[in-house]
Amino acid sequence: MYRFLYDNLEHFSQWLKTTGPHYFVVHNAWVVPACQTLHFFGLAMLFGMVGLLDLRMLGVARSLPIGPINRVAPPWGFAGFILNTITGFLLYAGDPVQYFHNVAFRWKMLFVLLAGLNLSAFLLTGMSKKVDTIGPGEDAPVLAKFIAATSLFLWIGVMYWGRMLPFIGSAF
Amino acid sequence: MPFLRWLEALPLSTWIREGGSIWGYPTILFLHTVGLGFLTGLSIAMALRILGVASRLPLTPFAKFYPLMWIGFWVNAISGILLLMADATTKAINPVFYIKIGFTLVACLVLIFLRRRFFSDPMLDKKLVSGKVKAMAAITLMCWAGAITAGRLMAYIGPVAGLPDITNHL
Repeated sequence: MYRFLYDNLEHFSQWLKTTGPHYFVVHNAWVVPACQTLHFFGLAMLFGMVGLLDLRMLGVARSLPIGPINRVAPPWGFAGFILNTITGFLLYAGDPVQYFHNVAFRWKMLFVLLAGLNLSAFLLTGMSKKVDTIGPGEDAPVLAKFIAATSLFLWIGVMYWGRMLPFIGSAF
Repeated sequence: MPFLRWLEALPLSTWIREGGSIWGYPTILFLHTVGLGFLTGLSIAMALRILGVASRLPLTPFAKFYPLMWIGFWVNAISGILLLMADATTKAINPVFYIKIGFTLVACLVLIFLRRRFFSDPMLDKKLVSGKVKAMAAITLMCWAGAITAGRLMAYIGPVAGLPDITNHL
């Protein structure tokens, strides 16, 4: 399984070096700084929305009903996530093999994946529906709080591994 | 310049820059990112609500996010000062740095103004949000975009600092 993933992703990274996105990034000096800047915009948007919903579930600003937050935070947060997927892909395309061999990058992707699974758990355990009914001053269920704390930990972890890209493992 | 050279040569600055420890430059940079996440992230959420997104949410409780935003601010003020000390001779003479500080200062002053004049009103949720307040919310959004952009461009424009041996822009 690991071998399969490793070989295929390595081939993909090698192949990416022969494609348009790679040449676009390496031949236009402004693309990397622009992508990095937009990546931070997306970070602020995604983390702001994740923070708003998770912090309320953990008991901050209890007088906010959770339902309306749970309807507005996901689409805006998702917009930030999409922006970061696009800009992140372009940054990867600029130097695919380097990223592929970077340990911090693998951790970062693992944490993003875990955050996705955590979100699935939020939906599949019915917690998302349950918190919709939680009004001003009411507490979220313990399981929802656990999912919220996990989410904050994982997204802060994503920032950590992102920042560690040049420092841990193979340096840029 | 002698002052900046002195600042950059301090043992603490030298350790942050050249110590090679994960707890030096890398961790401080990470904390600067987490602080950004809390301060600008929650500020963006608040501004969007003031501008009319999710208008079914009451506005008053958003004041409760201020302490977390200020924690984010202080984490970034302290980590920012440490990063500035480590590269004082380049960063402190880079105009882009002062643009970043300018945007950050305006955004924080507007946040303080909103806290004192807008969120302090007990009848807040019984009234329509004025155009002036909406304009201020829009200003915070633009200032954060400006501050983030300037912060990122400090690695590319003007006198650029950088760790030895790292060719990529941090």
